Amino acid sequence: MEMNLSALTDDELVRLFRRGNEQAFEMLVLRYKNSLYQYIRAMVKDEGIAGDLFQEVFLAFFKHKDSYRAEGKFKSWLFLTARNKVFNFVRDHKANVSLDQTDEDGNWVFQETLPDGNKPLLEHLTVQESAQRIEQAAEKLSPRQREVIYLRPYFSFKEIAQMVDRPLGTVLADCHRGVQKMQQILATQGDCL
Amino acid sequence: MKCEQVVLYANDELSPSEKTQFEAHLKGCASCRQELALLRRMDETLSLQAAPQAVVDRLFSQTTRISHWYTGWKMWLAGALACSIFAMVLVPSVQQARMRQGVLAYLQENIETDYQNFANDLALFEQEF
Repeated sequence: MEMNLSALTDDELVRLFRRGNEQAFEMLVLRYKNSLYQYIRAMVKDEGIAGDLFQEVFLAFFKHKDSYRAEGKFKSWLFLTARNKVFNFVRDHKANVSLDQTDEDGNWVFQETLPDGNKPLLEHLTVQESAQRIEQAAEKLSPRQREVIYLRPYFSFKEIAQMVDRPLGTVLADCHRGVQKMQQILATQGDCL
Repeated sequence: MKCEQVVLYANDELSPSEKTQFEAHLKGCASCRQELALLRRMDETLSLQAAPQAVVDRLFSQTTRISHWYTGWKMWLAGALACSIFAMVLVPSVQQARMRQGVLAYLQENIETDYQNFANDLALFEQEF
């Protein structure tokens, strides 16, 4: 009997996959590939590295599905695993991205490497151009602001606070200030939304 | 705090009464309206950005390779298990059968010899007595 995998919950797909149904694994990948890739790419700012870390996250689940113990929280598990992999990557590649900076809570912070120069004024932005400008502006945020901004479409602020282990108020302030900073950056570049 | 609520409003995480209050605030706050517009545009942008197909294809080719390797390993294990069972069960039973045949053959041979010896002894005994 043909099963409609897209209608199943994450937990149901995980159970099926653990019983040997690899199509259930593929469905989980298709469900989260875009959001997870965007998050990793935003954090490491490099497509090649993002692709490698993306694979590592899903391969970790594929290889160790029997030791997976996050029933009811697959999405959170996926993003937390990605967060750890990003953190480990940054720690192991200090030459490219420094961990010297820590915030007031002692959390890890990437060193900012901001490109110089203003972008030319674009009076009429297409969706793709707008996406590019937003991405470039987001790259100039602090890692914790960027992280919250990229997690926001997929998690509630309460869930984000749990994931990043910071108070809800701090997470809300990070997001608010991050968006304000992006507004300033876009305004400086003359990119009106 | 009001302006910070814009991110909660964008995520639809305000209670109905907070939402009404914030919408009233929004009418008079250009900064919040701009921030909300940017948040909405970011949501649109993110929904359009897909993971590169090459990255996904590479993942699936790796998982396929792992599955094949795992299947091969399981078949090898099954073969090894079958060989072990053969070695533990079948070989001793064959050996036992062979030993049984050997013992029977030995006994047959010896019975004949013993019978011959007994017949000789009997003949000698009859001669003497």
